[in-house]
Amino acid sequence: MANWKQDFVLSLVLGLIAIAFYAVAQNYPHDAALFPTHLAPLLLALAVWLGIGALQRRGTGGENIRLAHYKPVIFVVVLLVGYAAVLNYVGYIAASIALVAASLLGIGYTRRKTALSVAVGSALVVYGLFGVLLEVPLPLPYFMQ
Amino acid sequence: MDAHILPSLLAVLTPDVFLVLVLGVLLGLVVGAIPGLNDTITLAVLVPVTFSMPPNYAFALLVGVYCAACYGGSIPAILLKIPGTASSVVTLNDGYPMAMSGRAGLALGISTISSVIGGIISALVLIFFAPKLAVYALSFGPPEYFSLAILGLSTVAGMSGKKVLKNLIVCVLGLLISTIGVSPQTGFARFTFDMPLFYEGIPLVPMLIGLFGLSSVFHMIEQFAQKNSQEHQIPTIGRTMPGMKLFFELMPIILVGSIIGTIIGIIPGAGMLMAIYMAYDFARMRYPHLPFGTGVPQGVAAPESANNAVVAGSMVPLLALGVPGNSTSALFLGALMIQGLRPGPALFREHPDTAFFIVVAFLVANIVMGPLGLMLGRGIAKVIFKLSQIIMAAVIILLCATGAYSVGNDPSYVLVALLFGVIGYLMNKNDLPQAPLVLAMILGPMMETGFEQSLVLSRGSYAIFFTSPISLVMLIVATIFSLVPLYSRLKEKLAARKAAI
Repeated sequence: MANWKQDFVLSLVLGLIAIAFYAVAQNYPHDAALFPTHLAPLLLALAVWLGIGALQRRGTGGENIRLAHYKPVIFVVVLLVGYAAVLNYVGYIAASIALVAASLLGIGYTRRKTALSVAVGSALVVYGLFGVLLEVPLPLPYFMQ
Repeated sequence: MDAHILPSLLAVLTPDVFLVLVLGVLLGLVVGAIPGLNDTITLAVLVPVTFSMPPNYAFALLVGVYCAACYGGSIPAILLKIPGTASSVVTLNDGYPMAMSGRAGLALGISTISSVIGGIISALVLIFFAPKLAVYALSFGPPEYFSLAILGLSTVAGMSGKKVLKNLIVCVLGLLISTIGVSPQTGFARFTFDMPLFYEGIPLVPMLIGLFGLSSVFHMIEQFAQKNSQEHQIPTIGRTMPGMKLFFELMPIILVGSIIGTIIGIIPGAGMLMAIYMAYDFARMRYPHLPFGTGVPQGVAAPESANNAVVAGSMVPLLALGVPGNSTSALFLGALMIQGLRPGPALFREHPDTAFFIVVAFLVANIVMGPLGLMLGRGIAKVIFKLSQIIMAAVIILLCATGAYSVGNDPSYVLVALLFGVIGYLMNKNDLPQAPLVLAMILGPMMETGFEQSLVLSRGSYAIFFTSPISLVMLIVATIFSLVPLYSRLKEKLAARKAAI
């Protein structure tokens, strides 16, 4: 059974999502709003059901949610946001090498040379697969565009 | 009609054409097995390439890729818990636990055999019964499509076991997310916040890449950071061929999965996910005593036979009626038109050689896929397992990001994949199943359109869903599916009470 605290937080988040969808859909024409305005209250009701169930299990254990636990994942998420932001400026190959190398080293992989080799190798192979073989127009560095 | 089958078979078996078909199958296996790549992306790139090819080469290549990519997706699903393609979403439920318990080879073998049988059965249907089946699917109207979507979602309830509430939440959330984009009825943009990226809804492929690819990588990273890497748990591949006893045990499930896949495949828009869920759900009902989700061979056989049966099934409406069954078969429409052919009833009359060449090529491609899949699947598996988990995670991040980018040639697609990667990761943490979210998001527009059009037709009366016999049957089956978890729970309670007494 899931942690009651997690379920309670989840119910709050889902409730907020349902309310947000409902509130935004109120501004739409009747036909366009029909489906979402039926679904949002349903989601809200299910979220309340989940929340009540979680509260009924209160005191049955449940670890606190620690952000430090998710540090490496958050690091990679931030890296990917940065990757998407710079892709069209620094080009596919340079951005990809940086992404793979930073991911490996940032997570705690200690062999730097291997990390760099893997980064260069994988970026070139994936470029060959997508860019050359499948002819996907992958971005070039800004100065080459 | 049958007079064209033998000449077409001989044309497919011509050495040069056969070689192109085998190359297509190999390419399909590889792209299907690599997370982030799939048959749609590959065919989208290959279709323009076939412009300069003779028709037989072009269709042999495309058919080979389409057939094998669907099966290839099961390799990373079984070994890495990452579906290479959306068609393997359900395979990982039991395939991955089988691999973790040292039966990776057996899971791959069952997947191959089921895929080949499913593919052959649907190819035979395509060859012999295409016109009749297409006429049946053509009789579907808005109420039938609405009921079909209800039926598809009811299978989720049937699969939920003890997590009915969380499954329902995910379904409703998926339906709500499916309303993002232009309204199918009114053309009004909803929840798009003036971002053109979302006008046609959440892009499916980046969403799948994120939900299944990136979220799994995040899990791998978390484990590595906790010095809890699973490298020591890497299973041995082991024997791939199931024994005769197991083979005959699986046969009924494979046959039913193939039939479900073929029927769903010929219904335009119904899609592969619905077929695999229905096949899996049937297996669960057929064997209620088996602990599905923990590494049950039937849990691999059912979805794998269904998904490959969808492939040839989806070509029935395209070739017979000119209506593509799914996005990949829509690419075939482009390939046919590039070759100066017009898909539809006239195709079989005016260009029987090409039409029958394509349908026979599906049969041969599925037969070729068997030995190649067994040989290559094992090889791919070995290569995958020789890689360090953390290095593989970093490379998969790159593949996922590149795959998402290549869908729209825009970095914002990478962000969509990332968003759904985070959502998938958080869903995993909260015991929320991911697959029903995808099913609901795909069925949402069909359900909404069917619902609204039906009410327009009936002038607001809900009776329209019950007066159509096909719709009524589907709603009855959906009700039965929905009641399965309640029935199981009631049965458990009664058994517990009996034991207490």
